[in-house]
Amino acid sequence: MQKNYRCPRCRATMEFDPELGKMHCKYCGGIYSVPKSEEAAEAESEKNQVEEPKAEAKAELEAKAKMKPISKREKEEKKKEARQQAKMKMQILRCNSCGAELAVNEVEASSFCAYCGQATVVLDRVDECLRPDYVMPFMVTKEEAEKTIRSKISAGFYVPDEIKNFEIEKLRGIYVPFWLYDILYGDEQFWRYSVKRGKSTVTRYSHRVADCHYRKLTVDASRNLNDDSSQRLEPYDMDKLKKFEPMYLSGFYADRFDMGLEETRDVAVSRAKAMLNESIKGTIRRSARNVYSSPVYEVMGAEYALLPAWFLTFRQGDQPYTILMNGQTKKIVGAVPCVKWKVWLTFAILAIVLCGFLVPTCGGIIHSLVQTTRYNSGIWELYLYIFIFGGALLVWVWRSAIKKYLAFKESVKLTRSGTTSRFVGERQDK
Amino acid sequence: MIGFYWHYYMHYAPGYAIGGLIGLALGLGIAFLITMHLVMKSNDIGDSKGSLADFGYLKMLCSEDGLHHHSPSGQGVALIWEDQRQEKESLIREGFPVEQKVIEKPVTSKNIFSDRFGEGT
Repeated sequence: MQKNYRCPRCRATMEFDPELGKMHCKYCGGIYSVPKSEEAAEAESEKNQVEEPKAEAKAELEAKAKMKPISKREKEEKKKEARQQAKMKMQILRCNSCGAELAVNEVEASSFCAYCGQATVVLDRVDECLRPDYVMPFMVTKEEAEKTIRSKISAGFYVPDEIKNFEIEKLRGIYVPFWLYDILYGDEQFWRYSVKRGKSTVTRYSHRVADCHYRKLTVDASRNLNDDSSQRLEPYDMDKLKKFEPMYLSGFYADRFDMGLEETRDVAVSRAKAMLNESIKGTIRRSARNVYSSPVYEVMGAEYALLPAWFLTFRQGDQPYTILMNGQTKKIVGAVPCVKWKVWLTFAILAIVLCGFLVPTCGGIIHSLVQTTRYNSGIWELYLYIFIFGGALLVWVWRSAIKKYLAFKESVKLTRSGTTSRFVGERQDK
Repeated sequence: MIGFYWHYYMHYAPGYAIGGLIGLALGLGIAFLITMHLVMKSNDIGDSKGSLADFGYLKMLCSEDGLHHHSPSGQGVALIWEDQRQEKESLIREGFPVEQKVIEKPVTSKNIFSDRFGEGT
């Protein structure tokens, strides 16, 4: 079953306007607030009646009230999947406005009619069982998104001209499904390192006990969108989440989840572990090695939310590019290839200047060290440390440069990803 | 003549050659690093992911050098090895409880923790 949200005045289809934060009729200019569902209204009146508990207890109560136990959620999900299995294939619907055929793929929850351009929400995909808990409404308009992306790309010195003046193939606002996990993760770790004490080496240990409470840790619930891309859209300001209402989807595309809790739980736990380990490692010496780790975790719950993102696709020759933009914070994700001759020229100029200084300088320094040690063998130890320091600096410089190069290559690869391009492209056009 | 130049070369060349090579490697490396930094600033318009601070809060207890570590039983004990006599003496002077281990075999993570905390670690 699909639905168009009609203006009460002129009966045209309304769409959600990110600038106004309300439903807007483009024909008569009518502006209407998104009505709250009974559920949301009840929750608000309960909130007003109950006595204010202490801040910490209050936060805990709110969290428990909002979150279903994860085992219950998983059972519900299995029932949903079984019921929806027949409906998961491509569906052909009829547009409520013009009667034309409207094709939606297996995961789309909102789309547009190709003939009359009316926004349509497929209610079956967001009904009681599949209903998201939250939605983050778009706060960036289509025009703002295009303007911001264009200005960012055209400001790049190494960006080719044909990319700076790109022609937009598609610019689509899509609600991406996410699971928001609540995880308690703790670890006790021992790290071993060596310290020089005069002529001997002493083994030392660093001990860390860390506990972290992750709230609303986002995990992408769409199989067709690359996890790396969706993680780069973060962070979203979760304080702006709203209780889900289908009206928010009107005027945008939306997908329902196709990766459930069973599939994403391990991803969430791995992410929690990786972030904790990174924080701990930041307090440890570089040369230390982890010799003991005892992690414990509890997945307290998960909620289903639709978060907004703008997807802009264009082509350079045969190559598709997809730039993403966080539909709330305007954070842009993407990398474009560079003009090779400009890069080589920059490298050549820098290399000539730096080598012109460093080659004679280092040559002179090493030469004088060699000469000095011929006559004073007692200070060779000091010079050995200088060599070690110089060697370490050399390794660090090359390692950092190669790391940046590989990271850039990876970013360009993600931007050119055919999967993301298809995620955006394979939808009904307005 | 040839002998003079040969002697001159053998006397001065190694220092300049080695130093020159190091300078060249350093210069090329720094040029590569700066170039990549400029390219990323221009062309890579967003690659950072969400971090721990965006999703949660962290409490961490840190102790160093094995001096103040707490074993799982909660008792504060220092792990001191046979070859760390000076450390042991200074800890005893400070009144810190010290347990000495005699090293009879190479130290590995297994025997440190299984001996101290029991099997299974």
